[in-house]
This record gives sequence, C-alpha cells and structure tokens, in this order.
Amino acid sequence: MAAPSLTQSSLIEVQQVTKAYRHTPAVQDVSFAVQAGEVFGLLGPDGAGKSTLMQIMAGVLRPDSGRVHVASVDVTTDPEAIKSRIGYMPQGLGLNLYDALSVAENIDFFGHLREVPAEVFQRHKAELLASTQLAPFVERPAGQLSGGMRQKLALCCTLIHLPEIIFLDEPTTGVDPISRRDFWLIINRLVVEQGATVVLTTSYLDEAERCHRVALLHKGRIIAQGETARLQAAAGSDSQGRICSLEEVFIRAMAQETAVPIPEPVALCTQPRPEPMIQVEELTKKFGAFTAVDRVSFTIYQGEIFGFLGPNGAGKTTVIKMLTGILKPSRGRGCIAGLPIGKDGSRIKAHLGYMSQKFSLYRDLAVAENIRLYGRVYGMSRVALETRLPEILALADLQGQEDRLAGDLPLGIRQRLALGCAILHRPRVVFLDEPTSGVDPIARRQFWQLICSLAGQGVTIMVSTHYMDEAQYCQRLAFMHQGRIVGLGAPEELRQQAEAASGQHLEISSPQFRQVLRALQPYYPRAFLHGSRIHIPTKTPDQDRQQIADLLQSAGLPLAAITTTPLTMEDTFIYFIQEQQYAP
Amino acid sequence: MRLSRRLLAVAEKELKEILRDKLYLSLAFGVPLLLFILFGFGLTLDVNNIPFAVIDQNRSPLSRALVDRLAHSRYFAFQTHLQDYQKLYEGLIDSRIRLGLIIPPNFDRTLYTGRPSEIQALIDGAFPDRASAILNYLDIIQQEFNRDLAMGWARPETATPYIQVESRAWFNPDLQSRNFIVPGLIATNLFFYSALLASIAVVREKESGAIFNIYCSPIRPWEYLLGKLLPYWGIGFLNYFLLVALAQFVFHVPLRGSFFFLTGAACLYVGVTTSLGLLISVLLRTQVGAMLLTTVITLIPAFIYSGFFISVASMGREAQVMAHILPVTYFMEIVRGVYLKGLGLQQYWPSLLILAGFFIAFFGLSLRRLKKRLD
Repeated sequence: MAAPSLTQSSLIEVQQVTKAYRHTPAVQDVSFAVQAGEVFGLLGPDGAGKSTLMQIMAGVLRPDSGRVHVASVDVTTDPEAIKSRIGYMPQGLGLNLYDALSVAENIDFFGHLREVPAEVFQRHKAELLASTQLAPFVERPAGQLSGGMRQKLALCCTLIHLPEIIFLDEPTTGVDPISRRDFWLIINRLVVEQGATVVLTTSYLDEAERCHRVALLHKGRIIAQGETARLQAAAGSDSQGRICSLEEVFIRAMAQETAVPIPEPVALCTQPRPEPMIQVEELTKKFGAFTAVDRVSFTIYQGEIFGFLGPNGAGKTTVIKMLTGILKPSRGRGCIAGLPIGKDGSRIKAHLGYMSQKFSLYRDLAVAENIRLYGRVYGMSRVALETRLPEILALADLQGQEDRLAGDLPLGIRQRLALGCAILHRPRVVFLDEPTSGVDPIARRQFWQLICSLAGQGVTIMVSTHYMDEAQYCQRLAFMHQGRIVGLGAPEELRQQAEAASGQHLEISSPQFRQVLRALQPYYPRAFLHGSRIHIPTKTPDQDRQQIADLLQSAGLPLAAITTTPLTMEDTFIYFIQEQQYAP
Repeated sequence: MRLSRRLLAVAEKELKEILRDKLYLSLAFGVPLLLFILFGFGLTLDVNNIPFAVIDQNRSPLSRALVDRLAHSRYFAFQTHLQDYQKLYEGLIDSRIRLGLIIPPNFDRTLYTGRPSEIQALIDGAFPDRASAILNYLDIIQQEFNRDLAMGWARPETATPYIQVESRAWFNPDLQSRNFIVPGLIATNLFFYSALLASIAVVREKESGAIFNIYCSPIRPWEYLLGKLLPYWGIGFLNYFLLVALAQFVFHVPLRGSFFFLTGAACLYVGVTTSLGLLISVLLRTQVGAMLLTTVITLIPAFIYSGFFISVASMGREAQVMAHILPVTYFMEIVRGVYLKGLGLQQYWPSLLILAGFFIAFFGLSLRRLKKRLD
C-alpha cells in the first residue's frame, strides 16, 4: 500500500497510529489524510477499528503510538485546543441525547455547552430543525422519538455550533431510508455551502459511495484507500461487466490482504415450489398505545428466501417473534406448515429454526458444546446429534475447532455457527433476524451462499436485514416501515415499479462537482451530491441530459460524463414509503 | 464573578432530568423518609418493662416487699409466680421472661439475724447490652432495698451514715434514647443517601454515551463537575429540612441549639457527602457498581464507626482511626451537640473546618480524576 501523500492542505493527518485495548489490537499502523472540505469515509465491519480511530481524532482517546494532527493541532498532546472547532457524534442511535429532555431542550443544552451566541444560536436551531424535519416535534421528549429522528436530533446537537470538522460515528446504521436521505442532504450542504469537513464511519458499503474518499478498514488495518470513484475504476469491472461496487472493491482488497479466495457472487438457484409454507393475515401487535406491527399480510412459499427489509424499530423482529410463538399477536391470523401460530406451540416449534438478533450463542461455551446444547433443547436423540454434529461443523467451517469458545470466534464465523445451531433439528422454516449485521463483506457473502444452499434443499427462509444491498439476494421481499409493509414483491419488480413512477437518476461527473451542483440547483432543486457525482431524478432523461450539458457549457464548467443510473434499492424503498403516505 | 454559562447549562439539564424522572424523584425523598421513620421508631436503646418471674420459696413479707419493689419500677414488669426451675427455664427459653428471681426459703430469717442472704437472678444474656442494663437496674434496686432495710431495722440514731448518690442525667434528663438516636439519624441518613443519589451523576452519562458531549466540547472539568454537583447538593439539602421537620413534629425531639447554625453546618456536610458520591461516579464505569460501592462505604461505616451507637471515645484504637477518617463522625458530633446540649459555632468550628477539608479533598480528587478522555 502506498503511503498517502501528506500535503499542506490536509486538514487531518493520521500517521502510523496504533492502539490496543489490553492485548487486543484495535488499530495497527494506520495512516491517512483528510482534505479540507471533503466527505471522508472510514469503512469496515464491526470491530475493524472505526470507532477507535474516530475517538482518537476527536481527542478523546490516546493512541499507543503515532501522530494525529487535526487543523495543525497535535490532538494526542493538546486535545482541548480543537474542541471548539469539532463536532463529534458517537455511535448508537442518539445515545448521547438526554431522553427526559425535549427536542428543543436538547438542542438548547448543546448551544449553551458550546456557548453559541444567542442570535446565531436561534438561526442555526431553526435551520437545523427545518432541514431535519424535526420542527413539528420540538416539544416531544427525546426518549419518545423513533430511531431515525433520534439520530437526526443528535446530528442537530452536533452541528449547533457549526463546527468546521465533523466526526460522525456510524450515523446511519439502522436508520430508516428517509431519515438517511435527509441526513445526506444535510452533510452535503454543510460541505458545499459551509466548506465543512466530514469524517464518518459506516458499514454500509453502498452508502459509502457517497463519500469523496474512503479508507477500507479490516482488523485494524487499512486495506485500501483513495478517491471512491478511482478505487472503483481501479478494481475493474465485476462479473457482469459493470463498474465494481465498493463492496466488490472491499472483497477484492480483503482477499488480497488475507489470501482467501474471492467468494463467488451469490446466485439465486432455487425456483420456489408453489406450496405456501407461511401464511399471515392482518397480523397486528400493540404494546400499550404503540402499534409495533400494523395489519401485516403476506405468504411465503416453500423453499423461498423472503426478505424483511427495514430500519431499526420498523417491526421486523416483532413479526418474527409472533411467527415463532414468542409473542402473542394482538390481532390477525397466521399459520406455518398448516399449523396455526400461537396455538399449539410445541408442535409448530419442531418445524422452526430461529436465529435471534445478536445473541444466539453462549459465548462461554465451546463450539461443540453450543451445538450439543441446542440439540438437547430441541429434544434430539444422542445418536442423531452425534451424526449431525460433523455436518454442522462443516457447514460453519469449524472442523477441528470444536473446543474453541464461541466468544473467541470472529463475528462472521460465529453467525454461521448460530445458523448451524438453528438448523440442527432440520426445521422446514428458518427465521434469521439480522444475521449479517456488522459482519465483514466476505463473511456476509459466504453467509448468503449458505442461505441459498439451504433454500436449495427446500428449507423456507425468512430473513430480516437493514442492509439495502442484501435485497438482491431475496426472491421476494417486504419493505417494512413503521410497523407496516409498504411494498411487497420480487426486488427487481419493485425497483421497476418505482422507476416507472418516479423516473431514473441522471449521474453527472465533473472535476468541479461542487460548482456544478450550485449551478444546477436553481434548475433542478432535487439535485443532490452522491460522492463526487451529482444525481438528478428525472422522468425525461434524454431531454434533461441535453439541458444539463447546455447549462454547464454556458456556465463554463467542465463536464466529464452524464449517464443514467438505475434506482437503488434505497430509492425504491423511499418511493414505496411515500406512496404509502400519500395513499388514502 | 459571572457564573459560567456552561456550568449553568449542565446544572439546569441535570435538574430537569431529575425532576422528570418520577422514580428517581420518589426514591430521592421517599427512601430517606422511610429509613428515618423505621429507625426512629424502631431503634431504641432503652430497656423498659422487662418481664420477670419469681420463685419465692420464702413467702415472707420481706420477700414480697422485694418483689413489689421490682414490679413497681418502670424497668420491670412482673409476670408470674412459679414453683419450679423447669418452668423458669422454659420461660427464659421462649423469651416470655428475661429475668427469673429465686428467693431462698430462709431469706428473711438470715437477714434478720444480720447475715447477708443471697438471692439468685437468672438473666437472659443473649443480647449483652440488655443483660447488662438488667444487671444495673437490679443493682440499684438491691442497693435501695438494703438501705431501707438498714434504716428500718436499726434505730435511726445508731444508723451508720451512708452516702446517697443523687444522680441527674443532664441534656437528656429522661434518658430517652430517641433524643439521641433521631439527631444521629440525620447525620447517617444524609451521609448515605446524599452520596448514593449523587453517585450516578457522571457514571450514568458514561453508560449512555452522553459523556462524549462533554469530552468533545470545550467545557472545563470544574464547570462540568460543579454543574453536576449543584442539583444533587440541593436535593440533599432539601432532605435535611425534611428530616429536621420530622424530628421536630413527629418525634418531638427538642432542639436546644441554633437552627441556623445547624442548617449552615448541614449545608456544608451535604456538600461533602454529595461530592463523595460524585467522586465515586467519576471513578467507576457502571451505575450498578457506583451505587453498590457507595452503599458499602457509607451505610455500614455510618452506623458502626460514626458514634451513632457507641461513642467514638470508647471504641478500640483501629475503630477510632476509622471514625476520624469519616465525615459522618464530625457531623454526628455537631448534630447531637446542637440538639442535646445547645452547642454551636464556638465549640464546633474545628469540625466545620475539617468538613470543609473533606469537601475540598473529594471535589479536588474528582477534578483530578475526570479526564476528558476514555483512557
């Protein structure tokens, strides 16, 4: 890896930084530089060292070795000198907010904390509330906001003093697509209009394409870094001849670094048999006055991979818990393999496998002990268990590691083991609740291959996720938003439906993208920045393409290319949410 | 001096959070109230109405006079006459009686012949303090009995002169232990509870992640910590008024000294205890840990070493050292001195200085230990 050039214009310079917690290395010999006025993304799975680096840059964590300069201040020795100029938003959905305080009071507190002059404060507050669409909720306690709203409020609080340098740690993880879109509009406006510099971390590689430059982190090391577009171009084209996605870039870089073979792209191989396995009608769950799941109906066929796509708090887990018999529905009916849910629990459970969110293994038990425990819980005979054990070990790729503690396994492998435990008793239906959350891209791809091979054996799979790009692996999917299914169908059908209604995006590339965006915005108010490219939604691509070219020519701005790009899954999701909201 | 805007913002935010947390608020005032009432009514060191039984093998006027004397004192309550030891033993075993008196058959005759006669007293010694109190009372009654016996039997002009001690207990003439216990409870309660309430102040933000707002802002540690301290100090101080009102109107403990002096001292004392809680909050990482540690280091020492039960002067050497490193000991002296003896600033300024020293030490240590960093 070439050492990054540290020029005079670098606002943030990280040089050979290493940090370990006790004996576990978190970050090893990391160097990168962030230029003023750019959106810089630190990408990687859970445990890659993203948060550690953010905390070091924000001056709240001291590295074991290395130098970190932020705005020419050495933050390892004099962190206080930069604190008035930075904004830092920690990880977690608005965890740094004060739940008992209202939206307005939270913002006020941060204003006082930063000693923002009163008149400036009022102006910023009004602007931020408007752009985050939180203005109608100023009196509401922060504790009663949805995940996306909390995250936007946290962003308001972080930005109230208009910091020059903004550190955002996983700002969009688990956030609904509309909040996410608002979020990126604010980030891009800050960068374009105020000249702010943004460093953010994310584990969504599709979203990371919106960053000007990125560094890919794996196990505490940078495995690739550079301009997003150049990294994608340098990686060549993918198996279908398109420009590589950042995920593909990441996987190739990881494969090079760790000398593992690049896994084949996941291919859907099974044709579902037209026999319904799960049927749900008007399923509803209320917790007090709050409706977590609102009249949800769908049918899943045998051998199908059915995806539940939605942000945190959309109701995905609640639906799965009702289907598995853990929660009793408030209203509605459902049956699995012909047996009604919520009635004959034990008979139905023999057909079900369930892998719960985050926790499903005992970390203090060894691999084989975990498997045996699950087997006994499901009432398997000793003989059946001992013949099944090697199969599960092979599935999780853990042969010869039976005695390792589950807690010592890497997250990706641990999730495979958890899946193995869930299918130990050969269930006909498997529920997977966010199985790939925080897992690195290679392990994620391997995990999906596993899911596909299970489906190939006729197992019906219902999987929930908040990764938009995983929609492509599902035969059919449901978009969940605020407890309701807003869209249901095959991913490509849904995408085309949205595209037919709302049009495609024109993607404009230019070396002077900031000026281009400013020049186009009066004519195309919906234009937005996507990395160093500009996206404009349009229903008349050919006409607009010509007009844009003319506009830029008359403004004397260079134009590299205008192409049409298909709608992303996120755009599709947003379309269906809005359809639902405007529907009677 | 203009108060820092950041400090006020922290204090205001903290106060709002406290006031809106109904559970915390009811705990903040409910628990000290409950503890105070439970201990105030339930905890008494007085030994009154000790049930006793008698095996009177003498059955003479003299033996009856002795039993009457016991029965008519407020310390003893006569239960029954018994015939044999077995019954007496059973009575002591199941706590129906605490004292059994056995008067021998020749009790009166022996005395009249001018020789000492022995009576046997069997005492339930399970609770040593009570047993020794019974012994003391018995001793007094026996002395009085002997004196009267001597006076009545001998002619007055030949009677041997004897010294009669007229004792009067000052400051607490009725020897009501409530007058002693209740003011002590003010000291122990404020020590334990103010510290406990404050012990979550910083650690709660560490758990939630809100501490990053502080770490990443230009706020100075003293502004943050003082802003955090003030609301808890206020709650502790309100608790003090509540406890004093209870002592006055529910327990009717007379306050002999100056209420203003006591209130001033309490204000300083609550500052000390809340800053101890704050220090723990700065040092630990979890709320559970902070509350547990605070309970262990305040609750038990507050009752054992502060002089609450046993005066510090009569403790062992190690216990005395322990007592003097606890702020509660100094306020215990003050609160009892003001309540029982009417003492004030003139006597207690050194204690106040020591309390101020504790405050500076606890708050100073908190400041030193609050690093605006994770490591």
